[in-house]
Formats: sequence, C-alpha cells, structure tokens
Amino acid sequence: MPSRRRLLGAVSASLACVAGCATSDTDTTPGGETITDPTVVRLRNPGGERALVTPRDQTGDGQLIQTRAAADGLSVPPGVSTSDERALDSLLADTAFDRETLFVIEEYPMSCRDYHVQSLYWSPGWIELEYCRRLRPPDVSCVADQRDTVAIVVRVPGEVSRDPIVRTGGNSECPDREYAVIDETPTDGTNATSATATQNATSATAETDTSGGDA
Amino acid sequence: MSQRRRTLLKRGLAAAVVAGGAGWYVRDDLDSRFWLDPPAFDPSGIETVTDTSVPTPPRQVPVSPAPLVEPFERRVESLLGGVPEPVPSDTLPNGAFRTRIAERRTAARTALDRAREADTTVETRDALVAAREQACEAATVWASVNSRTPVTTVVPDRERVRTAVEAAEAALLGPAPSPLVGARVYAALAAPVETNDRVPDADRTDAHSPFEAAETARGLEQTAAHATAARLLATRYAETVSGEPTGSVLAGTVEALGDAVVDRYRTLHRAATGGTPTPRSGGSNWSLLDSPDTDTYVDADVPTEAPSRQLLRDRTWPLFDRFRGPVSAPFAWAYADSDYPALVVRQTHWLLSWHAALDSLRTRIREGLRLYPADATQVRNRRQAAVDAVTRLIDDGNPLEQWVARRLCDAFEQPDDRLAGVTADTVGDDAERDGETVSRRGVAESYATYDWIVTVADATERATATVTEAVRRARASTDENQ
Repeated sequence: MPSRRRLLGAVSASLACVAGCATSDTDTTPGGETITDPTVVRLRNPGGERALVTPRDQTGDGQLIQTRAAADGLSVPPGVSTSDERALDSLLADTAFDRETLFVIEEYPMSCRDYHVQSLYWSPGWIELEYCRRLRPPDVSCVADQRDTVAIVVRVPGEVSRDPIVRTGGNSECPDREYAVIDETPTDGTNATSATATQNATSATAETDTSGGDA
Repeated sequence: MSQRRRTLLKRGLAAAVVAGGAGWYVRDDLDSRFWLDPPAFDPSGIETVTDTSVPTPPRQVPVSPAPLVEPFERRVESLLGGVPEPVPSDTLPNGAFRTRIAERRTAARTALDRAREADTTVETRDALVAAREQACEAATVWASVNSRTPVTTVVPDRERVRTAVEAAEAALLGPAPSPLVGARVYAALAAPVETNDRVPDADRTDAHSPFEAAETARGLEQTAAHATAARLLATRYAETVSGEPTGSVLAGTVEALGDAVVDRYRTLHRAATGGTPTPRSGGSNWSLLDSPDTDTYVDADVPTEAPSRQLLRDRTWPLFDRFRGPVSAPFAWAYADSDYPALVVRQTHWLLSWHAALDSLRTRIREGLRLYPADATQVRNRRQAAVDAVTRLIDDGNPLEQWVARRLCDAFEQPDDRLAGVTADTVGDDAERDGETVSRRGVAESYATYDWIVTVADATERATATVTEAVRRARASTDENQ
C-alpha cells in the first residue's frame, strides 16, 4: 500500500462533526429554531441495507432517541466502520437526554457522495433537515454507481414531541471552494520515479506546442 | 368588496372555467373523431414508398481536415499523457473519480478513432473537438484531486481562448469566389464557434467539486478547439480559392436583410391575428417574436387535427422558440451586429425560406388542404416529388440553396424510418413499432413531412431572390464607399 497523506487545510467532506467539534449557529424564529451546521454523526454502511438499527426500527421515516435507555438500545449492523461507531458512542455519551434529543434518519447516497446537513429547523412538533451534496475526498475508498446506507444522527437541543412532522430536502452541491487532494508521491522509489517522470514528460511536451494550435 | 360583487365575480369565474372546459372538451372530441374514423387509405404498394434514394448534398467545407489532425491529436495525447493509465485504486481510492477519468479517456480515444474514419471535414472536425473535450475533462479531474499536477497546466487559459475566438472571427471573413459561396463555407465553420464563443469569467469557474471544475474546463477546451478548427480550416480554404474577402459585403447584406425579416414576421402576425403586436417600449419590433395562436391562422373547413393543420402548428412554433430564437438563429435584424456575418446570411436565407413555405401552406389549407393521402401511391409520389425538389436545389448550384437541400435531406430521415419495413398488412391503428407497423396517422404525418420538403424547396427561390438583392445592395454600398 503506497503511502498517501491527506493535505492539511483541505476540506474533508466525510468527517462527521461530532459533539463539541464545532459551534453551531442558532437562529430562533417564532415557533421554532434554526441551527446552521448542527451537531451530526453519520454512520455509513457501504452497499448495506441498514446503518443503524433503532429500538423501534423505523429509521426510514426518522426516529427520535429521547432517553438513555433508548440510546442503549441502538445497534450498529455489520459493515459500519469502527470509527463511525466510535463517533456515535461519543455523541451518545455527550448528549444530555433530559434537555436534548437525538433524531435519526437513514438516507441512501451514492457511495462516493455524502449528504451534509446544512441546517436543522426544529420545534416541539417539527423537524426539518436541509441537506447539500458533496463528493467524498479522493482518498476515501468508494465505488462508483453503488448506493450506501447512511444513518444521520442529529442532536436537537430540546424536547421534541413523540411523532413530529419530519421534512428533509436539498439536493444541491455544497458551496465548497476547496477540496481534498491526494499526494500521489508514493514512498516506494519505483513509483515515485514514475510519477515524477510523468510530470517531466508533460512539462517537456509543453515546450513544443500542446495547445492544439490554439495560440 | 361588497357581497354582491363577490358573488358576481365568483359566478363569472365559474362560467369562464365551464366555458374553457367545454371548449377543450369539444375540441378534443373533434380531434378524436378525426383519428378514430380517418378517411379510407389503400396501403397497396407501401413497401416500395421509400425505394428512391435521398440525394447526397455537396460538402459544406470543400477543404481537407488535414490542418487539424496533427495539432488536435497532439493536444489530446498531451492531456491524457499526464494521467496515469489506469489510475490505480491505491493511488486514488475514490471510485467516482477513477471511473470518470477512465470514461472520459475512453471517450477521447473513441472520438479520435471516429475522426480517422469520418467521411467529411465537418465530421472529422466535430470528432476531433469531442476528443479534446473529453481528454480535457479527464485531465482536469486528475489534476483537481492530486497535489502534483497544477490544474493550470491542463485547463485552457481564458485569455488564450478569447484570443483564439478573435482569430477565428477574423479568419471567417476571408475570401471566396462569391459572397454566397463565402456565406455557405464560412457559415459551416462559424456555426459551432458562434454557439460556443462565450468564455466564462474566472469567478464562474470557482468550482464546488473536481467534477464541476472539469466540466468548466471542458467547456473552455471546446470553445478553444472549435475556434482553432474554424481558423485553420478557413485559412486553408482561403489558400485554395481566388476572390475578394467576403466580410464587409456579407455584413452589409445582413444589414440590408433586416427589414425583410421584420416584414416577414409582420406578415405572419397579420395572417394570424389580423394585426401586428403593439411594439414594446422604445418602438422596437421585438414583440413580433411573441408567438400568435396558430389555430387562428386559417379560417377553413379543415379539422384542427388534420395533418395539414398539425403541420402548420409544428412548423410555426420553431419561429418563436424562446431558447434559440427563430428556426435559424442567428438571423438578420435580431443579430445585426453579429461577428459571424456569413452565418447570419445563411441562416436568414433559411429563415426566409421557412416563412415563405408557411405562407404557401397556409394558402393551401384555406383552399381545403388536409394532407391525408388516399393510398400508398400518393405517398410514394409525394416522396418522389420531395426527392426531385431537393435534387433540383442541389443541381441548380446556388450555394445557399444547396445548404437548404442539406437540411431537407435530413428531414427525410424521420418519415423514412417510420415507413421502412412496413407492409400493406401492417398498416393499421395499433401502436407503432419502428420497422414493422405504422398507423394510418403515422402514414399521414410522413406524407405531410414529404409535402413540407417540397413546399420549402419551392419557396426557397423567393428567399434566394431576397438575399441576392441584399447582396447587390451591399456591394453597391461598398463600392460607393471605396
């Protein structure tokens, strides 16, 4: 396996924002509250049917986790990575169920895409998630034309009624301006030479005319 | 609002809804009746309706594509040469990127093969441009996701692209044996440049993802490639012919044709509504491009769903297409200051031919034309008349009419496909299967299309006379100024 390093400063689309990693912006509107960039954990099961099984097992329409006992009843099916599972554990441990609620919903993005939760609007009888889509970083292993199941777990900073109206929407590209890149230089000397040679060859031909006659 | 007035308003709305609904119902019923019980049709001999070959129009660009081949292939290989082949999954684990790169690389190579096998210069050009586009997209995706390939080494520089477009515009004003020959040849070279000559600003390419970046780069590459192709081919053509530069005469022709186009639209509106639309602010004529209700065109005892009236509707709306302008944008009047006068002259000739054909069709419908054939012999005869009409346009040698002939040759494709493989036993009113069965309505619509080909071919002479007169005036004006 050649070495690769993720370049610092690049945006990693797949990193879920776990408890305490970011400060959410809130906007209280009459009857409800909008939170930009809420606290979210995502669990992905590549090619799998489920990414998180809840006690009521009805995550297709979204489900509330309102008690510690309900949180203890969550189970992660095979196929979900341990890092995703650890992120969930961390979120559960840091959630104060006496004044906070978790909302769980499953989505089915393409393997190389993610749904990013841009905002959460909530009121006691209503939960609304606004998504945007983004490509996963180049160093993430994924399969073109395959759908994954992703459980999205969102922390709601308050109590929600047992059966809220749930809305999800948004299919536009996230307004990112940077994206992660790979460093294609491997540690293995042969491949490194090869990669460098490719670059040199490109530079060399550029000195002739590779513009297609546009100039 | 008083209670009484509210009630009246409600009644009025209800009456309007009922009236509208009844109108639709009645009309729909009439249409259905026509096709539920169409006039008799004898299909004997329908197997041979399409036997006569459609003629081959002359080549649009009478020079070899050789000047493009080497630089374009070199560009493609340069772009692809910087991308590992294949991209290893341990180097780039994200399968979406690997797949996109592989697909575009394959498409680029396939397009190069297509270019080598192409029969005409235009086909070769289009395939080579496609190869560059695809290769650029592959290279940009790769450059966008790895740290060692600067994206700027693969994405065409905007200024360079703008320069390429300007150079093409200048070359497209070159010499030709006559202005009309110049209009035909340079228009064929200019058309893809005119469609793609908008170079996006840098902020438009501040992409959200490597895929968006690649699509933007592809657009720039396409613009650059078409511009370069136009310049190289126009230069080669100019070396092979003697004659004066055509730019100023054709620009003058465009100016002279503007009034003729406005006049055609006025005529069309008068035919439809008995008047012309109120000019918009500033007294412009743009309101003429608002589509009238075509069903009011004709006051004749011809069912609304008769093939003739359907043909009239189908051929009228393209004159008011909001996306790309009338039938043939760019055209004189609306594109008076176009950078591509050859293209505007050619397209205006096409537009005027279309208008004249609609005039003729309208007149015949007023006289009772239904365009419902009685038998297969009538269909065969009309198709033969269409073949003869197109052949005549080609043989007459007028450069613009030859281009109309090319468009009309393409118009045979749909009806011919519909009738190919059909036998007298498979003409009926069941669902159609290409190459096997056709409905009586399908036969009638094919017949109507053959009739349209004849109608346009016959009407072209009128358009040619208008354009020829505009060229004469432009020449006279140019001579006066010299």
